[in-house]
Parts: sequence; structure tokens; C-alpha cells
Amino acid sequence: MDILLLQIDTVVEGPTVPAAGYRANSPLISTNLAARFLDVAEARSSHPAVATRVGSFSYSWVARAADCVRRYLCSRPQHAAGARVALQLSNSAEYVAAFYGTLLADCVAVPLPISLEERRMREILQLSKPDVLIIKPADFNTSLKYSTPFTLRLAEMSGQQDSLSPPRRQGQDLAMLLFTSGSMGMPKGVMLSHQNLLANADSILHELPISPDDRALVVLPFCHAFGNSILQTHVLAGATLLLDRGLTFPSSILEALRELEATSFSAVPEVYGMLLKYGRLGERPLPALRYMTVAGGELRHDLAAEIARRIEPASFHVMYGQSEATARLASLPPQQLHIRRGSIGRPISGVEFAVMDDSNRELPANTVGMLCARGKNVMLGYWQDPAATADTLSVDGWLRTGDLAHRDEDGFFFLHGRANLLVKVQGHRVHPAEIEGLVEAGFPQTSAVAIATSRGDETRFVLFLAPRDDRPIDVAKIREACQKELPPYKQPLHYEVIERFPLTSGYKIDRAALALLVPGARRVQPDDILTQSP
Amino acid sequence: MTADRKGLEGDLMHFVQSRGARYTQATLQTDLLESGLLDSLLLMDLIFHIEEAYGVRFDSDQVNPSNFRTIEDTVTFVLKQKSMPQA
Repeated sequence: MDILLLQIDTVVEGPTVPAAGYRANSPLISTNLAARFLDVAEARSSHPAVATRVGSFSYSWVARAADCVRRYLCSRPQHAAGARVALQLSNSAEYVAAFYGTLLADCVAVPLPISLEERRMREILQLSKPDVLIIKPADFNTSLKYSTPFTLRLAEMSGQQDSLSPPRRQGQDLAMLLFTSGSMGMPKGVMLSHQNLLANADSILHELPISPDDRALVVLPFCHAFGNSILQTHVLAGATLLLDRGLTFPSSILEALRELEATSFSAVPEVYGMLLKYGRLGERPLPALRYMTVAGGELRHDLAAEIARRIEPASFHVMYGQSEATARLASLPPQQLHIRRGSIGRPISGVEFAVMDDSNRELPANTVGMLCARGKNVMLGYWQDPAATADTLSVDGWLRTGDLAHRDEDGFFFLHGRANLLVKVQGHRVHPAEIEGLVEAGFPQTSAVAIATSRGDETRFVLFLAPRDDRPIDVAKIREACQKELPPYKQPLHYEVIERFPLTSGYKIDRAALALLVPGARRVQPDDILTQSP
Repeated sequence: MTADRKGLEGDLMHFVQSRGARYTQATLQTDLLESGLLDSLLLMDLIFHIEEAYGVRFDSDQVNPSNFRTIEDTVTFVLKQKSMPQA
């Protein structure tokens, strides 16, 4: 594997967008995502694609930078269409250039988080076998002993005559591998095609008020499905991505929204939780703000309503999605937030939903079953894992999301937890969400997560409780409520109060980590010992 | 947990450094923001750890860059809070 270091010395603006150069050779394929990017770059040439506090990068610059990356990749003697190129770059103009440059070279982008643990990194590299790893000098880790890195100075080769062929991959061809956690602990690569990425971006552009003058403050990493979705939609709209350092703090996010005059913001529920707990969202006006979106997890209805109230007149869009469906699948129109409490909304255009039983038969309204989705945004499958693909994708194109849901008579969908968290207790099927929902409904200041644990040969639950505010948790009262409301087999064996729940790198509650906190559970995994430094 | 400066520095350094390879180089004066080491996950973990181990609670005005830019800044903040009567 070769290592490519991307460097920007000075940002020199120039009028040349290589789209024309490509067209001279042959017409660009409109179902190639990078070709669409070049079209936008040509039309929005001088408009900032990426803006920070210190400067901005125009569409023209990003297109030239992407072309530099393409030239490097195509000039390698081993260059082959479909080769994987790993991108381990923080959100930056370099990332955008590397992403589209990779696609322009007919390669497949494999975005990786910059803080990926060594073991995970090894597993992903082993699975995807990339030819090249693209990084920034600042992120260069000397422990990587693959080869001598090649340094590429971006956008310095502007105006060169193009002698290389335009991209040929299109439509159903693989464009991107998105690694997510598999249920068995090994990473699973979600295979997304050019068509997947284009279709989902177009559906979202249809759903959200994203206009060419949109300025989206980005906190989500581009290497995640949701962050990638923000990148693709805003680039295809010819809008501006606002990047800022130190958006770790709720106060910094609010400051950046105000000072950079952001028109939109998207985040996962936990970030909104932080904005409500430690931020002062709504205290100072955000006149430029038009809308915010949440996805990547369920945001409790009362918190969603509170955010919607605090950001008025800007709108708040609750969305639902999955990496396997490129990014986003459904959206709740803001005016429905108070009517359809807790709903994930309706499928966005181009997406079809159905609630199905175990034999893939569609269930009527108000019946809980497996939420299935179909559309051009549904992945090609899992990378080199036909068994997992067959479990998830039906022959007629339905994606089994793994989420349980029902739809109401008007076609709005509501989630009921993950199907694969179902636990059998003494022959009864129990879903942790049942216990959690009971506690959270009766004690709104408490978050509850029920973890299945084995006691001897039987499975029971431990209920973890975390405060949502400063009020102490009354365990005795919660236990009393559970004893009153739940049959004995559903009652938690233990109640554990913790300050906050551990989160996964995707900011979801880390149930696996919680399971290790169950009293008596093995706390150290053999794998952890192997990766610990002495 | 005792909250003398030396002990606190050692504890928080260990807390940050033990998060993975990227963090082992962190020193008391490393700018955690400039270096990109402080993400919201570490921030929330730090708040949790400090609240639990030292009984210091943060209000929204105190979760800001000046209290978390370096480990030293956080130590100084915790010591200041510890020396004040808790509400």
C-alpha cells in the first residue's frame, strides 16, 4: 500500500475547471458522482465549496485539487479501475479533493476515521486491501510502516493539458466502501454505488430546503454515512460547507453558527442533548439559521420539541437513516412534529417503506414488524460477505433495516427498537425497549437502558439508569414501578445508576460496553489485552 | 480522590493518554483543541470522570475551551472549584 500525503502550500485561485478538459476527450457520464461534481464545480466556479475562519476554497480550486489526486492515482503503474483508495483525513478541503479525485480515477473511496484504533485499522485494511492510503501531513503516523510517503501539493498543477481518460465507472459500479460495526464484532463494509450516492443526495435535496447559498456548519465526520450525506448533498447543490476547529463544545458550536452565519446544522441526538444540557441554544438569536436536522439515532420527542421551539423560526427536521441505505431514508415534516409524536416521518422521495413479518409479507397499519426499505439508495451489499448480504437484502430489493416499526393510517412510521435486541426470557420474547420505555415514561429525568445478561442458564435484564439533569435518581421508586407494571420475567434483576452511558464512535449508546459493566461480567476482553501498550 | 495539583495532573494525564495511540504523546501543555485530540466523546468522558472522582460539577458556562484547552487548564479549573464551597 502506498501512502499519499496531501499538502496545501498556498491557495492559488485559478479559473480552470478540468471538466472541459475531460469533455474534450469524451462526454462525462451523468451517473458518475464525480462527473456530477465537476458539472457543479464548473457552474459554481468561484463560489466557496469549503469555508473556514481563515479562508475558503472555491469550487474551481477543489476541482483542480481533485484533478491532482486523480493524476497521481492514474499515473501509478499498478493503477486499475475499482482499486480501493483509503482516505484517512479529517473534514477539510483535502478530504473533498481526495474523495472526488478517487472517483475521477475510477477508484473506490474507503473513508476511515482519523482516530481509528490500530486493531480496527488493521482489520479494515486487510478486508479492503487498498492500493493507496491518503492522509494529511499533520495526521501522518510514523508507526505506519508501509512505504515512503509521496507528497502531493494540491492544485499546483492547474491548467495542464489532460491526456488521461475521463472516468468510466457509473451507475451500479462500486464508488465507496463504508465500514460499520458488524453484529459479530468484525467490521462490515457497506458497498455504495455511484447511483446509490446520487439517488440519496437527490432525494434529500428534494426533501430539505438546501439551496446554492446554503452554508452548512459541519460537525459530523465525512467518513460517516451521515457526514458523507451532508457533503454530497451540499456539493451537488453548489452550496458551502463550513468547517471550524474546536466544535467540541456546545458553546463553540453556537458561536460558530452565529459568527460563520451558518444557515443549517445537522447532528446526531447526543450532540443535541449536549447543546441542551451545556449550551444555551436559543438564548441569542441565530438570524442566518434556516434549519437543523437530526439523524443517526432516536431523539426523544420532548427534546426534539424543545430544540424546535428554541430555534424558531428556523425549522427542525427529524430524519431516519442507515448506512445500508447510503444515508437517509425518512423525514418528519417540521409541521408534523407535534402531531406525530415520536414519528420518524415518511420515506423521502425515491424511497419505499414497508413493515413486514418474518416471511417478508407486508403487515397492515398499526402492526409492529420489520421496517424494510427499497429504492435506488439501497446498498449493493456487504463487501465480500454474501451471507450477510443475503440476510439483509431480499431478491426483490428490500433492505431489512433491523429496526422494528409500525405505520399509522396516514403513512407515518414509528420505531419500536432494534429487532436483534430481542431477548427470550423463559420462553417469552422481550425487547429491552419495553422496560426502558416504561421507566422513561414514568421518570422523564432518567435515561434507561436494559441489558440482557445471563444468570446461570437463564437470561435476565440489568437496568442501567443515567440522569438527564441534576435531579437524583430514585431507584426505589423505579423498581417499584417495574414491579407494578411488568411481569416478573421482564423485571430487571439489578439496577445500576451511572453518570452517563458509554457511546460508540457513532455516538450511539454502546450496549456492548454497558454489558461489560454488568456486575460480575468479565470486564477485560482478551482482545483489549493484546492492543494495550505495556 | 485527593486533589493536590501533582496527583490531579497525573490522574488526568493518565486518563487522556490511555485513550489510544494518538493520545500517548499528550503532555500537560498540549493544546488538545489545536491537536484535534479533544472530541466531544473525550470531553464528555472527562466531565464524567471529574464529576465522579472529584465531586466537581460543571455548569454550562464552564464547559468551554478555556477550561479544557490543555490538561493543565482543566487541573487549574478543578482545583479552583475544589477550593470554593460547593453549592
